[in-house]
Amino acid sequence: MTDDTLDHTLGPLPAGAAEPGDDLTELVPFLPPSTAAEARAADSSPATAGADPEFDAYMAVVRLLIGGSVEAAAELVKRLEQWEAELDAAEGAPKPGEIHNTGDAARYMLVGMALSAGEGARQRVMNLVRASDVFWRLTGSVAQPLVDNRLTGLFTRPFDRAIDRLVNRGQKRVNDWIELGRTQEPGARRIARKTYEELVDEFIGHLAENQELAGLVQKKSIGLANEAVDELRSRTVSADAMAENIVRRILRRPPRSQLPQPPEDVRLVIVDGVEDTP
Amino acid sequence: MTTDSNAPAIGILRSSSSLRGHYAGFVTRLIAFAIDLFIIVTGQLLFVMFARLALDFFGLDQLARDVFDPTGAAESTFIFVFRWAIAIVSSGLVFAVYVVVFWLLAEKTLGQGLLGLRVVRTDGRHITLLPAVKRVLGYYLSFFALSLGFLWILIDDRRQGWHDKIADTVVVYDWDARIGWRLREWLARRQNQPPQ
Repeated sequence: MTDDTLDHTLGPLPAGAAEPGDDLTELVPFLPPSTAAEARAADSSPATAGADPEFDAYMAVVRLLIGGSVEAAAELVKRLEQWEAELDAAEGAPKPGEIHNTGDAARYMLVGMALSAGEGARQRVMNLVRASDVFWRLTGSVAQPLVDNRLTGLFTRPFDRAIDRLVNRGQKRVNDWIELGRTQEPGARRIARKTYEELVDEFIGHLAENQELAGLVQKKSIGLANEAVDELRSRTVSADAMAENIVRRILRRPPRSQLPQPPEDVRLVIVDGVEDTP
Repeated sequence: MTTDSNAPAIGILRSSSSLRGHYAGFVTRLIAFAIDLFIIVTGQLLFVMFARLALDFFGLDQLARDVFDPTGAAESTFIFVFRWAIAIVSSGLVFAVYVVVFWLLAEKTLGQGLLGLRVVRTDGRHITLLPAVKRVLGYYLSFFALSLGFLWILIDDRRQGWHDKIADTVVVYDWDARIGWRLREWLARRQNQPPQ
């Protein structure tokens, strides 16, 4: 929504929206600079942020939480839209479920109720708005001669002024909230994104620098490779014996249950690790 | 077929004892050989590819085409046979150099190392240059004799192929090899059957 649209919809922002004494003026000093130049100037000294005497940790955390919620919701909506489009493209529209028993029917009824509740509430609100509009038009046209009467005006005018003041105050409060949200949301989203990126980077960096974890990953990888090689070797050793037995069977020789032990010299070198002398 | 009558026999095939230092069988050696062949062929292909790229890079692409991809019109039978002879002989030489160098340096090729094998002399000494060369020549002999020299491993008591006998070498397990329990049970069942 642009500023023009906002002004058209809600009317121009009242002057002194952030005047001292207003409940919301405490937040105003923390509003981000409106111009890009001011924003750059503010961002140019992040190192001094910790030393800023006016830094409000509470407001920073609130901004972070709000920004995180907005960013997360936007990301979730984007993902949901993308996933639905992908599923529709891949599988087409899902077929309606089948009803085999009363449990199925009850389940479908609850799902239908949950889905229709939102739509029903929206329809009822719209009906109420239309009904109140009709009511005020009817009663307004009927009461118009009485309200515009000079005599009755003496009594009704103070009430009108009080109501107008009340409406103006409410309008001002709403406008203040909108302006505050409009100015604070980008900063909140920015700080949320920054926090997320920094946290992820720091987490990955911590994982990379953690020697114990790196050792564990390395050990697991080496262990898996060793296991695969050992498995291959074991199977080939068994296959050696099996192939020999098959060949012996073809040649009508008795199956071999024994292997000749290697000579002592070979055993010393291989098993005991004694190096030979040239 | 030789029988190693001096070697004491043990019922190792039916036990879960380690086979470390025992003679390696046909299947393990065949897989190790296949891995070595794969490595050599891949290396040769990469070499040819890079050589061709280098020739192209230096503007010798015409020479490269004549060497690697001659047109049918320009190629005579002599050149065709000559090219194939060069390819086969050079591949054989590369293979020989590869296995001899690895045997001399580590007593095993890469494939044999992966499968936990080791080539040693029959008396346990390290393999030297002459036995290594004899062993390679024995490879060719075993191959050209309809691979009978390789199949000899299956029936020889010390699991030696012809190339092993020529070079006086044996191939042994260099790790704690063990027969799988399923095969051990199967062998035990077969041993318990009455002789036919």
